[in-house]
Amino acid sequence: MPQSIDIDIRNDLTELQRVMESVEHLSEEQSWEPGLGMRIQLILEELITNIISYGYADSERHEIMIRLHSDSESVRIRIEDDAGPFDPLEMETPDLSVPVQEREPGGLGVHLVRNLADDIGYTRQDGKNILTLCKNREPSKG
Amino acid sequence: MDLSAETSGDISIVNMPGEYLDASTVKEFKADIAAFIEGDAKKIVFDMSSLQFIDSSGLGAILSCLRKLNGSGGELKLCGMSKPVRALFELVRMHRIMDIYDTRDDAISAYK
Repeated sequence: MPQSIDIDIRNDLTELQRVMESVEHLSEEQSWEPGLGMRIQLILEELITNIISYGYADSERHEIMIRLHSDSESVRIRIEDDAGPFDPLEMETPDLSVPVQEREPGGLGVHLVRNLADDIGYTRQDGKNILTLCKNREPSKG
Repeated sequence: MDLSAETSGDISIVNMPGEYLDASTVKEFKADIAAFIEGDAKKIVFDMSSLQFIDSSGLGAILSCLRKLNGSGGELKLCGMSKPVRALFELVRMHRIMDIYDTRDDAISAYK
């Protein structure tokens, strides 16, 4: 049966733990295939860390709203925040073919997210970033 | 993070503790690992058997270790990766620039 959960967090990295636990809970409830929970956790961890670490010009309290929807075909993620405009689809892909001494440690997070998700959408609306992602589920066997 | 290390001849094997190497643990990891990679040891193995989750900051930290070691004439080999962790190394093509082995013995043997 499809299931949705809402997780509202503050712009504080310690809140990530709560997000990870919610994903784990949903993963168990929805009997996700092995590995899917870790991928969803990684997508959320990368994006939320980015928002909290680099998105805000002030040190005020802000809310980040996360919605997860799981059904037999996919897991959908919606993240809404009032940080500065940030479209991960516009970020340059890091050059992963260069020798080790020229590889920059940064820029891998968005690359991971773009490769782990099957579909990503971004809009800026009423001063908010709205990011939607979809990860397809593997067809169940048998 | 309490990194522990063992030696086998002139090879230092660092046990990466904990299941997570991500934004919440990477700062501590970088501080703790500095003693190993900036010391005299030139042949290092990271045993990643306990690691279940790594993010871009964790991958970046391991890349930094490799760069530092290579810059000072050292070498780094990785072993014991779980399948999901290995998949992430492949996604950012770090498997092409890192020496990755299934087991600790394989990594140690590769130095000999």
